[in-house]
Amino acid sequence: MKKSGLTVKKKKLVVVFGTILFILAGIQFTSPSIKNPPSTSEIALPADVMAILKRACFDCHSNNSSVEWFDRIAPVSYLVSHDINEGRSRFNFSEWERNPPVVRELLLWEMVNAIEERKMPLQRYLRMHPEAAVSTTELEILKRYVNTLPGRHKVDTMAIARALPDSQIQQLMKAVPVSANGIEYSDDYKNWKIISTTDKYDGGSMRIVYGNDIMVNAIAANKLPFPDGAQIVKVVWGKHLEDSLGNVFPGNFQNVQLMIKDSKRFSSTEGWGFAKFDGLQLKPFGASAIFQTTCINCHRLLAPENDFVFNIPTK
Amino acid sequence: MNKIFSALTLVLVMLSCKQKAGPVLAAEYLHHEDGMQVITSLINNKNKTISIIYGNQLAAAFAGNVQREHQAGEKYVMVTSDQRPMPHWYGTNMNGAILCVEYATAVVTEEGGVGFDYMRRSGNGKLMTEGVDETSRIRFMTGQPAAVHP
Repeated sequence: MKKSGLTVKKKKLVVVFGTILFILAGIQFTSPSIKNPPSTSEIALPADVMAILKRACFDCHSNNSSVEWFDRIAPVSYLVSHDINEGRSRFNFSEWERNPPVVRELLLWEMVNAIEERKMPLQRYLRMHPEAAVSTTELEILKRYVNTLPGRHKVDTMAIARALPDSQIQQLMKAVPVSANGIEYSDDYKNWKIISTTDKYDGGSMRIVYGNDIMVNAIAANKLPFPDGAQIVKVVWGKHLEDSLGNVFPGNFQNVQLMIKDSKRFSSTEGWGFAKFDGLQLKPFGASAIFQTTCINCHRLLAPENDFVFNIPTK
Repeated sequence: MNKIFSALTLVLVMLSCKQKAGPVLAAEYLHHEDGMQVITSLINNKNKTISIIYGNQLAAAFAGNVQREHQAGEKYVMVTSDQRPMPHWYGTNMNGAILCVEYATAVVTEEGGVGFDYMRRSGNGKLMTEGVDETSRIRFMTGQPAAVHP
């Protein structure tokens, strides 16, 4: 009886392994191929910075992906292919000039933050490619580099524009600015409470961040995630030159940024709707609602613990 | 292909997911003055502070250059906080604990002119009187042009 039982078990094992092998062999035919298109405009960086980024980031964020033999075997190849496609779509070091200069700087700061927050390189990538890890010393090299970028020392020296010409004010009063995702501008925020004030020295701006009652009450109750109806408005200015006492005051008004929590309406962006209105004419930013993806990509990567909001007061 | 990728991702997430402790929100860093509006904000990198100057309607009119002379009834409040790195984003500093709140109120003097009453409190509300040059603080708080709000 015992011998017969073992035989049955062995037969089952053979069937299971055989099935797995069959499936593995089968999916190799559908395994995605990973290609390296030609570089059109590779980023130019100091040698030490370039060496770190090439080792840690280029496999997914450039057209020079160095793929190991085991990366080409399905099902691993599905993950590798997905990560490379996703990485290149976020930013591509081999097609760097496609980004406007301001965006290039922002991406480099985002990169430093993603590494500091241990969100990049991806943990699953590091398990197979431990040599891609960025050390504390290397992170300091990257930080030193981003602090040399032009936006870091940007000073608003222009005379402050305080009002639009009458004709533009009349036009603004006729039609409320509306973002491509349907969010309307409103200056109700001027009656809200301030939840934070910031010196965004990476881009040469300073901000006051207002929260509506729902937002402020949630902060008082230490309630996360924030409830539907919570709203944040960031008012952004350039920075004047520092005076002899060390004071820096707001320069020209740059934009107003809104975040509105509505988990149904904005379900694809973690429940937050984003809008930005530029200049005194409050021109809605973004030709289509796709601009929200850029916003949430960064908030999703770096601030998930804060319900995807950066500017909240935390201990 | 998408189904295979989703299944693999789910397995990896289940294997590696660790629940992180959430942040503790700091309502004590907030300050609100009823009936006041923002005149401006300022950063001081030498003192590592970040401040907001509020004013009532009369103060806002003066700061906005609508009213050329100070007038009795103007009220100014300047809230100064510790400057700290913003969590999750290297490249931004934000307000932390409130260090002091200063109040300047315009009153009619015995000579019939306009002067200011001044008071300074610490973040926990304690009156601070030592080492304060009231004249220069009043001049500073009440002399800033309004930041542009559309």
